[in-house]
Order: sequence, then C-alpha cells, then structure tokens
Amino acid sequence: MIKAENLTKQFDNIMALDHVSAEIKDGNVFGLIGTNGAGKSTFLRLLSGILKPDEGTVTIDGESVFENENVKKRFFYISDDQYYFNNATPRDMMEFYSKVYPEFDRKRFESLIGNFGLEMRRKVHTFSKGMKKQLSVACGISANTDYLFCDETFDGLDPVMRQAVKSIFANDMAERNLTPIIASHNLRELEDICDHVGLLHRGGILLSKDLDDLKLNIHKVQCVLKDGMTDADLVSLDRIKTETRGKLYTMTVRGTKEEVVGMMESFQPVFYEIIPLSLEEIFISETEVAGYDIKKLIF
Amino acid sequence: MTSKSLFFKLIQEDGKRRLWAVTLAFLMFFFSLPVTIAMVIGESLKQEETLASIHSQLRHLMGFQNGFITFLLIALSIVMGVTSFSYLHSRQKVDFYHGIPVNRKHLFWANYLNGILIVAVVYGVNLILTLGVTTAYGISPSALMGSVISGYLLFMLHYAMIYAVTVLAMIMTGSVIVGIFGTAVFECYFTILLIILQGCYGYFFHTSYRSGEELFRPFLVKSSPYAIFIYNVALDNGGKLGTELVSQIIIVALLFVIFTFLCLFLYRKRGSESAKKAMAFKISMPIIRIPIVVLSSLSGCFVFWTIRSDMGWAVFGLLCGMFLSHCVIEIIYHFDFRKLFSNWKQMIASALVAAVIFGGFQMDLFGYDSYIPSENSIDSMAISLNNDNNWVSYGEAVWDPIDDYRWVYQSGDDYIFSHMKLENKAPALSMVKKAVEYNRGKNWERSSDNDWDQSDRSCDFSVKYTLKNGKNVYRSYSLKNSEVKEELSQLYEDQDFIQAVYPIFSQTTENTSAVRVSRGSQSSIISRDKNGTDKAMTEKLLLAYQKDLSQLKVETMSKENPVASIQFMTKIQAEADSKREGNQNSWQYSDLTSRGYYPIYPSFTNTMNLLRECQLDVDSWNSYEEIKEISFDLSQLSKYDKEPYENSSQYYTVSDPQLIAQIMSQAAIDEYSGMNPFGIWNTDRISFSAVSSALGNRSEIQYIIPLKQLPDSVREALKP
Repeated sequence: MIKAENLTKQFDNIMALDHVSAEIKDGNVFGLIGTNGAGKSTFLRLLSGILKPDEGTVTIDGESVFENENVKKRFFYISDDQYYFNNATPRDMMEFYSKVYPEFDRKRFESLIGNFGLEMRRKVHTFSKGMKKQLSVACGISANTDYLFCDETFDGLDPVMRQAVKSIFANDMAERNLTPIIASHNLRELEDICDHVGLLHRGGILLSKDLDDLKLNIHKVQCVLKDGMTDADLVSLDRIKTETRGKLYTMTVRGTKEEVVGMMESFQPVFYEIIPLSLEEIFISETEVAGYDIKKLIF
Repeated sequence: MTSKSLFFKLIQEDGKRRLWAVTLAFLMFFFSLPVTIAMVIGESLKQEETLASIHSQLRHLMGFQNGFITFLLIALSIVMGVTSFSYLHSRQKVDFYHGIPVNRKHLFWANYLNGILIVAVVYGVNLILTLGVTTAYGISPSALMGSVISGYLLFMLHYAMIYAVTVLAMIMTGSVIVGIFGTAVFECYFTILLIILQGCYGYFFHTSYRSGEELFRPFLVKSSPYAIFIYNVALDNGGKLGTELVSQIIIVALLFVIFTFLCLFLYRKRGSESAKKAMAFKISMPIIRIPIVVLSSLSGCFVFWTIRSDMGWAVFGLLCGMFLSHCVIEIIYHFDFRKLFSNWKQMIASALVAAVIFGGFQMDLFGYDSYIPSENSIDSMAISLNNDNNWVSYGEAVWDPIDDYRWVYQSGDDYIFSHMKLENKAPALSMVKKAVEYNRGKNWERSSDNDWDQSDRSCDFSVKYTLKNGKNVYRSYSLKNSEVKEELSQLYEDQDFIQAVYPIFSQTTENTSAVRVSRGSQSSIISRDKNGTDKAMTEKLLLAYQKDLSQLKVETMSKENPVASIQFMTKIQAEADSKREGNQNSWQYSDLTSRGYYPIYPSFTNTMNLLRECQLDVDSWNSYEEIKEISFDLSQLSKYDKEPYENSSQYYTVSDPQLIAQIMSQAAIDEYSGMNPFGIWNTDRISFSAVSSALGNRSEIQYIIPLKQLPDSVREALKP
C-alpha cells in the first residue's frame, strides 16, 4: 500500500501541494483527477521519489520512497512527456530498462511492441505522440513492477488503443495484482477503469474515495415542487448545487439514494426524479464547492 | 553486489549515450598525438636531427609540456562536464533518471566518473597509438616512457580538477548556457579580479614596483583551476616543475577531491524541480551576483578613469558596470526582462563597495606611495639603478637539445635583488626619502616623466626591503640625477653594491673558457682554454679584471672613459663561439656570444698589464697620434639649427693634430659611454668619427663629446 501523509511541496512562491494525504490500496486502480495546476503531476513525482517533499512522507508498505532503490524497484513512472535517449530505438530502451528493473520482461516487451504495431528498430524520435505513449506503456508494463504511475498516459492514445491499454492493465491487475495510479483530467477515461478516485484542487485533496462510494453518495435530483414551496424549503437536503428553470429544480445533493428518496418523499413534490452523476459531473460539483466555478471560466 | 553491478551497467549505458563525445575526444587526440608525432618525426629525420634531439622533442610533445594538450583538455573538460550533467537541466530527463530505481549517489558517480574515464581511455589509447608510431620510425618507446606516463598522469589529474569545476557549475545551475557561464565565472572571476586590482595598483600607486607584478603574480597563477593548470604546464616547460612538483600535485589533487565532494554534496541537495531554472540554489544567487557586480563596477570605473582621468567619467564607468552586470544577471536569473532591477539595494551596495575600493587606490588611502620602513625594521636592503645597468647582461648561457645554445634572460632587478644586501643603507634610504618628498608635490595626472630639464639625466631606481618580519617590500622611484649625485657616489664605492650589480664578480675561473677584447670594430680572442694550455692567462685576466672593477672609484669614472671592452666567455659561450666560427652563418649564436662585455678603463692597470702580455697594443688606446682626422656629421646638428646645410658638405673634418688631441682628451667612445654612469650623459652632445691609420690600416671609431667642450674654433665652424 502506498501512503502519502501531509505531503507539501512548494515551488518558489507557488504552493503545489498543501498537506495532502492519501492511501492507495494494492490491486485497485487509483484515479488522480484534478483541475489544471491542481498538483497531480507533482503528487505523482513525489510518489515516485523524483521530488523530495518539503513536508510529509511517502511510503510503500511502510518504507520511505525517496532515495530508496529497493522501494523504487516496485514502481514504474510514466511521465506525461516520457524521455527517450537520443536516437534510441525501442530495443535500446528495453536494454536500458532491463538493466535497472531486475524483473523486466523482455519477451513481454517485444510482444507488446509487436501488438501495438511498433517496430523494435525504429528510432523513437520518428514516432508520433501516441506511439511514444504506447512505447511508454510497454516499458511500464514490462518492468513488472507492483505499481505503475501514469501521468496523462491516455492522452494521445486513439480510442482503440485506450481500450487496449485498459485491458492490459486489467489483465495485469488480475494476474499479478498490478496497481495502476493514473493521473488525468479526462474523467471519462477514468470512469470505467478506476476503483478509487483522489480529487486534487489547488494543491489540496478534496476527496479520496472509492468510485462506487462516490457515486452512491452524490445524486442529481430533478423536481417540481408544490405551489407555495421553494427550494429554500428543502432544508434537510444536503445540496451542493441548485439550478432553477421555471418550476423545475435541478439539484446535486449528497447522500445515499435511499436517504435522498426518503427526504424527497417527505416534501411531496409534484414530480421528482433521481439521476446518477457521471464522474465528470461529480468533479464539477465538488470543485465548484471549492470555488472552481465553471460559469466563471466560460463567461 | 547488485548496486555494484548496476553501477557498472550505468557507466556502460552512459558511455553509449555519449558516443559522440567519445568520438570527438578521440579525433582531437588522434590529430594532436599520433598524427602530429608522425609528422614531427618525419620532419626531424628529414632534417637529419640527432636521436637525442628527436627524443627531446617527443618527450616535450608527449609529456606534461604540451600546451596544445592543455587547451584540448580544457575544451574537453567543458564538453564532458556539460554532457555528464546536462540532464539536470531538463525536467523530462530529470523525471526519467530520478524516477528509475537508482540511488542518486550511484547516478552521480556513474556520470561523474564517466566524464573522466572517457578522456582517460581515449587519451591513453592515443598515447599507445603514438608509441606505435614512434616504434614504426625505429624510436624505442622505452626512452619516452617516463615522460609519457608522468605526462599522462599529470594531465589527467589536472583534467579531473577542471572537469570537476564544470560539473560544479552544471549542478549549481539549471540550464546548459547558464552552466557554461557559471564555469566561466568559477574559472575567470578571481583572475579578472586580480588583473583589475593589479591594474589599479600599478596605475594609482606610482611607486609600485613592476606595477605590482611581484605582489599579484603568486596569486594570479593560483587564481583558478585553469590558471593553476596552465601555470604548472608552463613550470614544466621551464624545467622548474621538479622542485615544486610535490606541492603542486598535492594542491591539484586536493582541489579535485574538494570539488568532487562539493559536487556530490550539492548534487544530493539539488531538487529535481531546479531544471530549467537559472540557478538551482536560491542562496547562491546573491553569492554569485554581488561579487560580479562589484568587479564589473570597479572595472568600469577603472577603465573610464584610465581613458579620461576624470572623476565624472569614472562614476559613469562605475554606473555602467553596475547596471549592465546587475541587470543582465537578474534577467538571466529570472528569464524575465522585467526583473532587471530586482534586488536593487544589493546593486547599490555592490557599487558602493567598488567605489570604496577604487577610492582606496585613487586617493592612496593606505599611504602606499609615501611608505618608508623604519631603519630598524629593515633586515636588508637592495637598490637597482635601472638606467645605469642596462648594458649589463644578466642571465646565463645554456644548451639543450631542442633549443641548442641560447641565452636565458634574467632581469637586472632580479639578479641584483637576489645578490645585494647593503650594509650601509643610508645612501639608498636617503634617495628614497628624496623621491617620496619629490612625489608628494607632484601632480601625477598632469605631469609626464620628463617634466624636468632634459639635459639632466633621470635616475630611475627600484628598492627592495627585506623586513625583519620576513616580508619583502618593493618600490620604484624616479628622480633627477643631480639631486642624488652624492648618494650615487657613495653607492658606487660600496662593495656590497658593486659586487651585486656586476655578474662578473660571480663568475669563477672554472667556468671561464676564453677572453675577448673589443675596441671599435676590432675584436680578438686573446686567451682561450685549449685543453688547459691558455687557462692560466684566462684565470689571471679574470681575477685581475675583478680586482680592477672592484677598485673603480667614482672619481676615476668622472675623469676617465672606457677605452675598450672585455668579455669573459663561459664554457657554453665559448662552445657556441667555436661552433659559430666553424659555421657559415656568422650571426648564429650571436645573441649568446655577444653578451657579457665589460668596460676597460685606462686606469685598470692590472688588466692592462696582462693585456700587454697578450701582445695587445693597449698603449695606443690612449694615444691620439694615430688619429689622422675627425669627422663630424653635420646632420645631427639640424635639431639645434633650423637651417639645413644645403650648399655645404654634410661633414666637417678636423685634421689639425692639436685640435684632434684637444677634442680627443674630452671625448668618450660612444659604444662604451653607456657603461660609465658618471661619464658623458649630457644630451647636448655631438658624435664624431675618429679615423686612424695605424700600421697602414684605416679604422674608424665613433666618439661623443659635449658640445661645450669642443674647442671654440670647431664649435664656431660647426655653426651653419
């Protein structure tokens, strides 16, 4: 298990991460979502021991990550802009990684490269952005590490390849208990793969929950209230957001479906409907609460 | 075990990444060593040079004396330093290297050592190739092995030191360009600072000796790793490294170790987020900037002062230096033009420091020019009269296989200061006091060195005090000769002074092989050691001359002038002279064989008597009977009279024996006049040639005479 406690990192006057804590359980897919500049990449770079935290600790199964070769052998970090040596081919990268990752699976690498339709002897600098991403995934998967840190790894992959990569992740999770930690702002990409979500905003963590819990505890309610009632009368509802269009109220509320249904029934509305939220809607709602108002960005 | 194996794997992988640098290094060494050596040997064999000479050249080219290898290694230290750690300047690369399961310490050592190993291997391989080339030409490598191995080790040690400095700069900065600037700062800052301080010292301290060279040189040669490297190579070229070898190696090795551990310490301290920033450590920003702004402001101030000698311009230079350096550095630090005036208070403070330093020199706040040590604090004192001894040949004749026979020059001051310890310091101190007093009232910015009567000779002198605390203090002064006449007379009759001024007193009979006497265009060897047969006369002449010269009185010099010159040839001079005689090129070795002449005064009776024994007609030297005519070239008088001698002969000839005798009694042989410090120095003088026809041979000797001492009739005749 990866445990980040009170992680703080400041770059000059910019507070990139401010006392962030999170736990990443083994065998799950941890989705790290957040606004632009929220600190997702910084968080991953701290997890992978590239950056030294100003405060706090990162441990894997109780062992500190920073400058710990044995612990670092347990994960592979795929940067948002992965570096490849000048004039290197996939074969060169394989040679290098097989020297630093003891469990590196050369056959798997060759097989993945073949399956991705890449050539082992072609110069990496002639690859497209998507091909480079595929190569990075091949390197990461073949390293056979317990954890795979992916920073915007799906960005640039075509839909077919995205699915293929997700399948590879799922396969390795099932076969060898791989734990992918995926940072992305493309929430739709994470929705169908993540088990647990950490939501970062302005350097702080807003929430860290299992995706199912998250979805079960937040709902969108559309309703038409009785004459003489307004949304102000719905005091027992834990509303995050309310929109009014004529007599139709659209609300984002916290609570289980049963709790919300119970409360709505007690208001005896003319009509009500409970709609599940997508991860994207949850993200917008939660960050809006934290002052990240989408309307202000658009208008 | 795993770490060790990983470490070597990392070295191997890093080597692959830097194949271009390996190739570059190989090509540079290949053309500098095997190719050059092959060409040199080919040419030497074509010239039929001796094996010893070829060996000597090869030792020079393959040993720690090859200046080209020095600059090649300096260039490679930058290339390797940059390539070893440039990944720190890219976030992409930092994420890659610091994300893999490799301890930073291992990563550091792998990259760091590879920068040294690549050069060591490439250099070593090329040396082996070079030895192969020498073998192919039939020259045994064993004769060169000592120089090759010691040169290799010394060069690599120095390379490692300067490489460490580049690495240090790369670690402390966040971009390659700033890293290279950083290397330049580390390597040049103190050198430039010392040059500027020496410039101020020499310019404003009017009594400074050799513009402070003695004071600053020991620091200048150690002012940066590059300076140490170049100095050590130069030392070896001068054949002096042997004596300083151990201390120099220890210094270089210590610096290498210190820089290496500083690099490791800073590497481990350096945050990965420093990539793309100008400076990796915020704390280093003012530490680097402030000294540069101080130096730049001081340089601007000094340069403009030297151009205009005006305080307004000096302030302008100070401000230019301050703004330019501070603003450029701030822009580089922030990569933002709008930040050019960040930390402006530090900028002002830096300029104030520069102004204080400049003021210290310009206003002589330290009382440098008026300094005279108290007599009881002086352990010994030496004085060198620069105008009086410029005819003396200081140095020694040497021979080596490469440069053949040559004269190794030594400055007169160096010789005198290392030989003179005046028991009686009073005359020298009196001269210093007069000079200090004279300087006190002098406006240095408006006066030139020759602001006194041109007919009065200048007395430029330097003094060296060895104080009782062991410190050596030097000063240089300039006065009118007439003001220190008394002191000069005392000095020239002081044996401590005389014995130290003329190297002939240090010459031994063992090292004297021949004696030559010259007068005018006549020159002859009167005694030469031919397997010991003429040795006795050579020895007697040397001892006699030393005795005569030591007994020379000021009164004699005032009355007499040298009538001939004598040279006591050392063994090497005599060898070179013999070779010259047997050679078609009469000019060959003339630089060596023409040195070491001393004046013969008519009153040098001991010498004269021995010269008589050598069948030299010395009595004719003071006789005017053989002189048939005296001829004045009137063109030299045109500076006194504007009218050109258009309608008359250019020469005025005197043939009256009485007039000739009258003129000759006051004249001095021009060639030797400079050897007599109390002779004819008046600028209002005229030269003439005296023609004699002794034994039917016509000969001419050039003389000088003060105009006012010419007979009235001649003086009248010389008027246009």
